[in-house]
Amino acid sequence: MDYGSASPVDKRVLEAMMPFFDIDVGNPSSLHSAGRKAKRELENARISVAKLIGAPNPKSIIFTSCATESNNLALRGAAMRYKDKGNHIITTSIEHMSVMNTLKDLQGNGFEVTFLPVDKDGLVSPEQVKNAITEKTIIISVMYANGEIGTIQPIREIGEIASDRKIIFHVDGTAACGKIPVDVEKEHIDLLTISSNDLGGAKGTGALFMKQGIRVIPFMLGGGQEFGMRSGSENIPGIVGMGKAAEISQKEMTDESARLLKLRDWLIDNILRTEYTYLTGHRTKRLPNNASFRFSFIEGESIILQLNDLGITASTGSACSSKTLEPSHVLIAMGLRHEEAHGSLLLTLGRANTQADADHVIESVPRIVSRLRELSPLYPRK
Amino acid sequence: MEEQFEYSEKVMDHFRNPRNVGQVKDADGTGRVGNPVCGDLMEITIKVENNILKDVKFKTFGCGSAIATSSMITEMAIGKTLEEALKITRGEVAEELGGLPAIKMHCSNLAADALHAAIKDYMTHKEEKAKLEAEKYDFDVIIVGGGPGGLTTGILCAYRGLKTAIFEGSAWGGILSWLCPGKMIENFPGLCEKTTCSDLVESWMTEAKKLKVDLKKERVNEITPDKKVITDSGEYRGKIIVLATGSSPKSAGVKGEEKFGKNDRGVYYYVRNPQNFMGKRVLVVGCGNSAVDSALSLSETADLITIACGKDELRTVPQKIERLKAIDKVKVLYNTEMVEITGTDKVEKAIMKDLKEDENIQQVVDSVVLAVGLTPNTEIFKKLGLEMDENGYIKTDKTQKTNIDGMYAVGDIASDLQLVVVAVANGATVAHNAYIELRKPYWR
Repeated sequence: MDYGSASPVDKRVLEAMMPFFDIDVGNPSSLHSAGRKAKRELENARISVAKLIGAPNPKSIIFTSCATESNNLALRGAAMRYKDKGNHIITTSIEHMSVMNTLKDLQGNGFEVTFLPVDKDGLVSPEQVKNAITEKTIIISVMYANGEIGTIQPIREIGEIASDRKIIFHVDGTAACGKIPVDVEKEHIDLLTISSNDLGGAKGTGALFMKQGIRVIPFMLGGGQEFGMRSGSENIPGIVGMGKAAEISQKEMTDESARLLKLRDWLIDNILRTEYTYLTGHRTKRLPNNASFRFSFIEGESIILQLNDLGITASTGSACSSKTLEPSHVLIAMGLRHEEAHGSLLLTLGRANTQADADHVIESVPRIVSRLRELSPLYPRK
Repeated sequence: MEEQFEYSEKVMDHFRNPRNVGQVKDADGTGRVGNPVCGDLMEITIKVENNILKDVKFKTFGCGSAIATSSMITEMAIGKTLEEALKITRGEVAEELGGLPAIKMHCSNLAADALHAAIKDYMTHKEEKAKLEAEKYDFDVIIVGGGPGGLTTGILCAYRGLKTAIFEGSAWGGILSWLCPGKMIENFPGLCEKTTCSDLVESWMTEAKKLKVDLKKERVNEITPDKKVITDSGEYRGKIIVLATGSSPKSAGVKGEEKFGKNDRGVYYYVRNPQNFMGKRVLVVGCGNSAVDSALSLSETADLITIACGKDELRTVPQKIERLKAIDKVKVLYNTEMVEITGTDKVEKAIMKDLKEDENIQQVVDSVVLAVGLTPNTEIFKKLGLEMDENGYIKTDKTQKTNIDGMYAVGDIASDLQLVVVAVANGATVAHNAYIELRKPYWR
């Protein structure tokens, strides 16, 4: 149950991708038939991705190598493009590191960035955004939903504010796209980051929706592919896969999300029966595939290793499992103390997860938690 | 070595099946270490017996390696001496586990620190306990009695660095000071009969003061089994109590003894100053050394000296008998027992019985010296429950220990030899054993 970290490529997607590795290997820039086929598939993929997010014009989709690149391109590109209008950027304190670090880098280069705090459920309010806006604000960047805690932000309301004030609105939709309906028109989104792998496509592909009329300064220069926004030969197998994944997602999202939501709630309701156990993130404004918790007195890596022994894959925001030995900034931003953040467990559901899987987790987690608590010097004696 | 990213099989084994989890009951030491940056917290409790880690248990909040290192170190430490355990390093723990991922080497490898903290905690507690225990006591050694045995035991204990006090209710030097201060010390190798009793006492006093022995002029009224000494002016506690109350002249149990025994009316138990017997007719009663010594000491002053000995010979060294024979005014009556001492105000007459002839003899005398021997001063120990032999001497083992833990006895109350040299030797024995008992030196 670790779809958030990496998802398997959908078999149908894989099938669609396969010919483009060895048979249909044309370059969309070439004029021969193979090239033209590649070009056609590229445009079809653009249409599928555009449809998924309610973008009226497929040309607003720019394929990149990953969501991180999309976030970099959107923020750095827009900041550079509109720097004459102002130097202030508003974001939240629970963004993905590709947003956080890009903005921190801009911060060191003449831009001012406001990192809005979130409440205990990880929510940022439209009011907060509104109050943070200054005359110099050029970009508001808020993630659609957080993959670690599942909380879905009030994107539409924030979009309206941004639209009113004519501020570029960037949304990192990595965790949300394909899980819940996203509509760039209704939600007044100018720039939207999309990940292929999170849709069921292959890694190595991402996309950035760029509303018609909005331009950014590219940093990948070369042959002028992707409307000059992202030079470099297109990753046709990856893009074809992403198109296929978007198409499947659009068709199946309603049913699949409803199925996952049921599993999610089953997991949440049962796991919360364990003592000293808390849900992280909002109970209802929540991705259908996200069940995240924290357990007092124990540490996440230990939970993950024990679960792994029982054949369950999961994630944690614990410092002990991170390269920097810092706990998840998301959990800390929600007001958790370090030792509380250490006991985090993140379950992200996907296509292959069944009711039996959920039951196995529900049966295993309390056992592991109590075993680890027996080892813990923090656990109160009874 | 190649950089490690994953946990070794051994780490996973200790993580999955942690050894020695929990808390040692009535732990002797607890070590808690944590690193707030990465959030590992370890608690190790230890049980120590004879400087060896008998049991080590852990509780850990932390990741896999934190749990594995804790578990591993308990296995490594049990059975080791504290010194050996203090030498276990983080690196050795990691090595025993088949290595740790580089990123885990710091935060999650605190087990050695926790163990060391537990040992240090134990050591601090031990010191505190010892200090607290020490505060309960006023002295390491309290000696009751300031005679030859008491003074020399005090000197020898202080010489070994023990905090020592001697309590004496009357004269420092005991019997040597009140019985025969001017007498040359005999039977003490090295002194060559050139040192008087009072000179010897004085040199002991000088030495005791130099060694900072607390010389307390207080009469001890009671000693309790928990080693409290109660005097007229206070209470004192000693880790070790040495009984050195010495001996006093025995009563002869003769009719008239009581009537004339006080206020210089003619009955005495020893010759303190021979000048007081100038020109007197003196009867000395007894067969032993004290009787002979008394008679000899009177040879310069008394007019006539009669020794009444109940046996058919005197019990002393040959050279003294020779000296006695050489004095004309000394007459020895063998097999003669005291019956009564008579007189109006003062002693006038002694009635004796010739045991062989079975008839009473009367003799006109001015003074009677009842030198029938010495008896140990054990009156104040009556309540203590000390074991004594049939003659009233306190029973001791060869280290001078009595039957009560922490109590020793030296000198005349513990030996019917009643020799200064024996009292001094007892003091040396006690000082040695008290030092071992209190300081527990490495060589014992």
